[in-house]
Amino acid sequence: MDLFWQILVSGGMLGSLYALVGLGFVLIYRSTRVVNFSQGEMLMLGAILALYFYQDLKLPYGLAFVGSCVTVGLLGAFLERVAFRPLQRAPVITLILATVAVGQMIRSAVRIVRGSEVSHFPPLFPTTPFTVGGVTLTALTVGTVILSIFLVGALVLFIRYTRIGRGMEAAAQNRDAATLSGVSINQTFLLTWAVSSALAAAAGILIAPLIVITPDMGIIGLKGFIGAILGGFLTIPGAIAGCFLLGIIENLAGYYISGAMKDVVSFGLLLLILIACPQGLFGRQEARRA
Amino acid sequence: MKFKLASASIALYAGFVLIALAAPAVLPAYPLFVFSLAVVNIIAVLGVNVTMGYAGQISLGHAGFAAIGAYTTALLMAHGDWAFWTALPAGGLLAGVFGYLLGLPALRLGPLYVSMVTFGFGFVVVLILQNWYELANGPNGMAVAPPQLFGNDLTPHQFHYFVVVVAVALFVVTRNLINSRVGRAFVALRESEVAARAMGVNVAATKTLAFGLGAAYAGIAGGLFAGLTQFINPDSFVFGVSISYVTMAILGGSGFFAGPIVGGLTLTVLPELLRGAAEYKELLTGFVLLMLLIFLPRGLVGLLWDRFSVRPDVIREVKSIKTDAIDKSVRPDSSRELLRVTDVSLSFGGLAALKNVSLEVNEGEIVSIIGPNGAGKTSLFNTISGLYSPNKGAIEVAGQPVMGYRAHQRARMGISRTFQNLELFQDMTALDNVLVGAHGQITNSPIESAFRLPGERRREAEQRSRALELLEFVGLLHYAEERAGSLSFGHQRLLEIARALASRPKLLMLDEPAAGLNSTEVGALADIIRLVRTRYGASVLLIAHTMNLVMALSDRVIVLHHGVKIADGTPASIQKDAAVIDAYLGEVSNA
Repeated sequence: MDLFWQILVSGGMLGSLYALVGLGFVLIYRSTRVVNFSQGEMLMLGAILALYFYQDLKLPYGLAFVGSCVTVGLLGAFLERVAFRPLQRAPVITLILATVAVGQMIRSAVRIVRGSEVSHFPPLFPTTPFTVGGVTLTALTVGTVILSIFLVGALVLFIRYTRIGRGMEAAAQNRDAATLSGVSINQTFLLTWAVSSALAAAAGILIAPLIVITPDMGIIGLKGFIGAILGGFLTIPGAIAGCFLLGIIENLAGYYISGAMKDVVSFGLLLLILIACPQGLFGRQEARRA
Repeated sequence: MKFKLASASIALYAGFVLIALAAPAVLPAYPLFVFSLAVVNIIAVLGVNVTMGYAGQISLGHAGFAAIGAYTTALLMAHGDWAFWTALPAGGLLAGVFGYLLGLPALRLGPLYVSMVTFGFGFVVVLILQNWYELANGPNGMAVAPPQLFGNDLTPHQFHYFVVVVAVALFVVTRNLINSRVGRAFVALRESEVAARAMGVNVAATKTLAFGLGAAYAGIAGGLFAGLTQFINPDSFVFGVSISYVTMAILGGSGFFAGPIVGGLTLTVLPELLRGAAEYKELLTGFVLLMLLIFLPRGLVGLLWDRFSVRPDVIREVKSIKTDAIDKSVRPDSSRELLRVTDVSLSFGGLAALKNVSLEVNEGEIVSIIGPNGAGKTSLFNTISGLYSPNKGAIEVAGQPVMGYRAHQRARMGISRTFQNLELFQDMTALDNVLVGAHGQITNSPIESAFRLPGERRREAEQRSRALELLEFVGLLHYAEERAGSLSFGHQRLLEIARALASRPKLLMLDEPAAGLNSTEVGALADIIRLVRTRYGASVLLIAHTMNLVMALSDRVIVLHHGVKIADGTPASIQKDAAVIDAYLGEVSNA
């Protein structure tokens, strides 16, 4: 039984990181109707930049963290301006492909600069295990989860209670009405891309000590997407719940089936959910109009 | 500039095939390999073009289909002792089945989910191949025996010929399909799914066919790749390869027949010339794709097409049409009931759009539905045509209940319509728009179309001349080969009527056909609506705000207000009805 709890707890930890990156997908989708295939690359870039600031420039961890998030956020805003804004009126397919193209460019550019070098992010908190109620934890995992939950919470408050956040929400619900009420759509989209890119970077930095840093680590970002779909892509609480659920399911699958097939399970789950109940487990159906 | 585009393009294709066939004689070994590889890629991109270019369904997983084709071919040869020639189609078929299955979730979902599903599929295929050592050595890959003919290994020269022949065969089949009922349904789906459904296109079958066909082509390309390189591993089918296929399709021109040739050839040969490392090629592909999307979304062929294409002359063809074509098969009997709507209620969330609406329309009758905005008029049309399902109530057409039938089936049962906000297939010609309207009238199967069997040709020709006749009826014959989206607003409204008539409807529903027309155009429209009854024997259900038109045309007028029918009677009685004047007419006559 202890083992089951162990799997559950570490699955939840994974889930909190998925939630962080998953929310980035949800934010961009809600306001721009685009699924951002470069979100994973933003995550990867965040981890690599933070590593560079922390290890090579010897900045303190907090500064490296914030510096990396800000840089990646600015990159997101820049990409919105040069690549996605010109395509605002293009078909959705075109925009999705544009994010695919951007992701590929970032991935290959990193590979050119760094090679396929595998790096480890030095753990921020001690990794000596301790046991609580039969479940083994480390300060690293606990600290990571607390930080990511804190960030998710901060984001939700930001959307609910700040002017910019409410503008994002308004643009998500009705673009025309938002414009008429004085919300600048261009500015809102710019911010949306910036915030969700920074969010991905934060997820990347937090997750980096638990896995290894490679140019392909962005694939983990897509787990956030799957989790969000699982829970219900259109609602923020649904998406968060789905990400936690996915983390737990993956860990169960990793233990009871096979570690290598963990990713197969999560994508299989994605297909299943999309066929059986596309609005997600905790979500609501998108209103349909003819 | 007087040259015939058709013969010019045939000459170009013939020239390309000749060059491809002559290549083994002049090219050294490696360049020839690159050429063969380019043709293999062209076949895969042809698949992308079917799924994404024509049918408008995003696919980020075509490398996964190619992997299924390649591994099926290789494994059948290695373990099943199959010959390459039989293993190759088996691989294509299996990939096609996977594509078909993957198309199923796409039925109800938008591009957001479809992009993720196809991506996830491609990703999982590679993941399984990498981790399943017993199947084919995981990441180490497997050798493929050279294809043999009469006991001898094929030389690279011979294999190149084979690849070119396969490519030509697939292009011919594709061309036939695209110019047929199936191909028009693909494009209709891309341009307006809702209109495609209302015109009798089975959207589910069409989407899955587009996915299946596109996947089968990629599978064949994968099998050919296995035969060409004689070694396969999962790395040859990663996500980047799917992106390359998509980039090739868009560079050439998505939805253009020659697109895959131009795109596939350019993006196979160009990186070879650059000779950079793999990551530089990927960077280049990403950059090229982004630039194309922003600056050249119609691709190279699209660019040339917009510049040089010449509209074929259909006017001469029309001389042979008999213009007295009064449809004798349908003679309306005005005492017989055609449409019966009983107690239909429809609500969205808590908002009631229709409340217990009942009405009847007799054969050959022209009935108008009027009412203020938001009265539920269009919701009623959507319910009758099957786009909305009501919470309760029944609908019968010619005595037959239609509730259990979906929109495309109802279209084939004789319900046709136009749309308030114009749902034309913008990028198709006016003629093709009308031909999509006749979708349910043509019975050709995809197989018949792919090989242009004699019966198919005859039926296509029949529908074509009928479509031209309908265009003449609404006065658009001269625009038959123009893009629908390039027509004037008034002409687009008329084109929608011609398209709706092509399905030989018993009931024609016109949703605000007069909106945005000037008074001359409204007069012409009134004549056309009257003729619809006498010439085609259809009943007309009309939504309009132009009271002159309504009062002059209608046998009967029905008034809706807040989803409730508040009056139903002759135009004269409606004009005197106190409730109607209060709810609606009063405002209009003051305006």
